[in-house]
Amino acid sequence: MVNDIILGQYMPSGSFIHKASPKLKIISLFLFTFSIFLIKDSYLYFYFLAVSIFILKLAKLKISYLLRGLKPLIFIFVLTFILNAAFSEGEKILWEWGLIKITVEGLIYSFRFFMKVTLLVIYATLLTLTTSPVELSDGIEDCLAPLKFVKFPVHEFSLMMSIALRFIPTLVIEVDKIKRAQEARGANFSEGSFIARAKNFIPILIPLFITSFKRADELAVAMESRCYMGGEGRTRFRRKKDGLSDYLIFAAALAVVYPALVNFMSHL
Amino acid sequence: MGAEKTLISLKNISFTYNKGLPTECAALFNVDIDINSGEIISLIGHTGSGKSTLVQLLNSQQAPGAGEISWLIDGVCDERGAAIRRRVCAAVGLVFQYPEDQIFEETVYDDIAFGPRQLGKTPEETEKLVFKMSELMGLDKEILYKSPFELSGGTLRKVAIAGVLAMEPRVLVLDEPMAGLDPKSCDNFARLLKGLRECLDLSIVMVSHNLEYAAALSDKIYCMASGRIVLCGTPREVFGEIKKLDEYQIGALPSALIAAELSAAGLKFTQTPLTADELAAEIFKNYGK
Repeated sequence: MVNDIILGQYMPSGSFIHKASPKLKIISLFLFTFSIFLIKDSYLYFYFLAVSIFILKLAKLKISYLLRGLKPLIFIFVLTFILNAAFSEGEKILWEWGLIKITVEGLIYSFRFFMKVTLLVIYATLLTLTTSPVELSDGIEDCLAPLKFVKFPVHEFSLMMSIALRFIPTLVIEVDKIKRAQEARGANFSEGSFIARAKNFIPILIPLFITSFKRADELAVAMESRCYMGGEGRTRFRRKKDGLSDYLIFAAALAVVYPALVNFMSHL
Repeated sequence: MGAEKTLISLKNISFTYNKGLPTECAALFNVDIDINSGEIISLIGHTGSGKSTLVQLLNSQQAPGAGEISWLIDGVCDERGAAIRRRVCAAVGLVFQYPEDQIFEETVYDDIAFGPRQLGKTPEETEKLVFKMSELMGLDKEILYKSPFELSGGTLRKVAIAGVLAMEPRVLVLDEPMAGLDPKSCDNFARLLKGLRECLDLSIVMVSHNLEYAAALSDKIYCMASGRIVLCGTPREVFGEIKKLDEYQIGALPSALIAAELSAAGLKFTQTPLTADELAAEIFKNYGK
């Protein structure tokens, strides 16, 4: 189960998408997200789906990585689809049973919603597949840099983000380890009623909390002993200036979302 | 020790992590090991040589990619499918590295009782097991009702091992039981492990970086390098192979190393000394004392 969590996992392949500026990649992700929400005509969802697969190919990654990222979310997707289809209002009723009414409009609405959520996850996964956590937090810091003028602690915020991202795999490994250790002591995580199973997580959660607090404390001491004083006057080891190729990629992203904007404007 | 009977037999085991991903990594190649009743076995090897993986296979935490593991333990061999795993978990007690990290209950008693309760033992049976195993591990009775977080690391480790023993395993598997303990606690632990074998008729498999304890405790030593078993035998046989051990980056037992240097200088040794005392005795023999 642990190996299925690919959202937030970096898959290096050395492609130019991997090397592109993280700041512009994050901004492009926002562009894509907005465009997907602006779309009025359904065929454009397939356009964005095709674009995402094209980017995946450019990044020299396999479709299976993307699918693996979607797998844990299938349940949520299907559930929202069913709920939306069953409870939306509409004129042309296909099937009715008490409160549940399946209408043509409802089906179209839930399809659109389903596509929006799926595309969002796909693009977010594309970003994390092609950007290492360190680059990601650098990119976030760059994106937030303008907020420094309103005294927003940009550096601290990005440090928090990068520590959180950095420790996701550590925590996943830790959970796996504790789970194995408790299984070796006779714990059973796959059988029993819902409540019994929920209770079974206590032997995992408590040790996880204890080690996490210990680790946070040790990390703080280690940082202070290396004279960490916060963002003030701190320089960066990796300094990446955006070059021509980065701007070209960004221009391509703009070009890609253009049809969505046109579509939105034409329906105003 | 009674008649030797094989409890776990591994035949031609191979294992690969993350099969099919770019991070794929082969950990074991064609490993053959038999674990007999009443034996203490040590696995030694450089970091990343596959010891911890092998240990997890013994407990069915991982399934081998190729090869066959058979558990010839009463109550395990006649089970089928998923039930095997549950039985194996109880019959092969696995103590992970830093087992004190897995303690979670409010009192030490409850933590040791976790295993037997999960196995469906009655409260009376559970109580008996908790008292027996905590006594064997040298824990005071008053400790049992304390919170585990008031105790020292060494004591916590004993609590964690008592928790595994309370499931009454036939084989106890320990992954670096002495890691991070002070020398006195290490000695104490070595004595405890020997005692466990006598009292509970346990087989013990231990992963160790400490060659002295491996030499002092084990009946058999398996030495691993890059996922393969490269040397195996009694401690005297294995630690006599100083050149090979060096080649596999395991290092040599100090007394065996000194003996090798001295025999190169002309002294005669009848056997590879495993302790300082044995070394001294061998040297004295050369001077006729």
